[in-house]
Amino acid sequence: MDTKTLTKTILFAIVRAVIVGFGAILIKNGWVTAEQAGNLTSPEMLEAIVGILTVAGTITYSVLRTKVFHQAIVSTAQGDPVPVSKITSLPQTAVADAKGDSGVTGGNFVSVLFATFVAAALVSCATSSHFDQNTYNSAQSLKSESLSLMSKAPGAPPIDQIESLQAKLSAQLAYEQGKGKENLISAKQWEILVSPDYNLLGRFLADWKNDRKFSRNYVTGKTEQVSEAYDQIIRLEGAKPTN
Amino acid sequence: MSFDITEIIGELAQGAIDEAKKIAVAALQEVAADAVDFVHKALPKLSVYMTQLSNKEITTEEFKDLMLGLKDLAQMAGLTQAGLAAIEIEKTRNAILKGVTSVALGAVNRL
Repeated sequence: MDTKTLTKTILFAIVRAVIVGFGAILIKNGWVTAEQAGNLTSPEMLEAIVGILTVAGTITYSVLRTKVFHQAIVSTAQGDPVPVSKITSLPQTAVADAKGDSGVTGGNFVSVLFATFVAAALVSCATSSHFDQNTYNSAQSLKSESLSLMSKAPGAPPIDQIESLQAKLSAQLAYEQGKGKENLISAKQWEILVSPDYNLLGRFLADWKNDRKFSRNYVTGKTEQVSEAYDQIIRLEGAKPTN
Repeated sequence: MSFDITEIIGELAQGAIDEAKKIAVAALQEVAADAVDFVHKALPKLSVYMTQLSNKEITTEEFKDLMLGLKDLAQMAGLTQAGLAAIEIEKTRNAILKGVTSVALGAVNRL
């Protein structure tokens, strides 16, 4: 076995052992479940693997840079010690063969590890949800229904229609919140529109249902605000990338 | 042929910085434009509400509710801008990810 192959074999064996060992520790401590361990695409596992690879790569690279270690490898392979001057420039030419082959692969490997780490960091840091046709369609139809209902104000509150719209709005809000942290911004917009704790549609419907008396100018002003709020939601949803 | 990891790190970092600068400039311009636009739309409405209040066409409570509604709309507009900025960041992230993947694959081929 030549020096290059020997070095590569030892390198990969070390990394493999570290990964297996760290993986077992992660599962044993409950940081990653066995199910997650089996699911390599889960964000938790990806982060764990990349963390391991980064540590393994750093350790391996550091070890390779140790002259004692390298000299031991080379002298074992060749039967006689190599001058220190030839092994000071890891990972470049210390064990390159006479034909100037690529030499020790430690630098290449660490480059792969770093690139993988950056990739995983980017993948795990999701920032925006994707376009949802259901949300887009619902926003359009709920806008139409809301403005149509508000046009009946300031007359007597049509309780059934108000409650029906409130139920639909609550369901839509729950749907948006259920999409998780990637949809936080849109979910917040729906909350501002729908919740009676704010001062848009949710508050208006609650006041109307409680038989609060409105002036026509107030209804006009509030209708414009509700329409604008829906437009904000629709604008953002429409700008989201598709899958 | 071995290659210099510091050079790769430098290229990746510079690429990310360049993209981030473009996004930051574009996002700031967009936020500024939208903020100005929102104020332009809000001020006339505020003026209308004040006129209606002074003419007793709306009650004090209604005026207050309309003002609070404007505040909520400002918050929604801010959220829209934040969402649009997040979308731009996502696009840049994907572009960087693509570049990093190419680097990784290229390095793997050299192993």
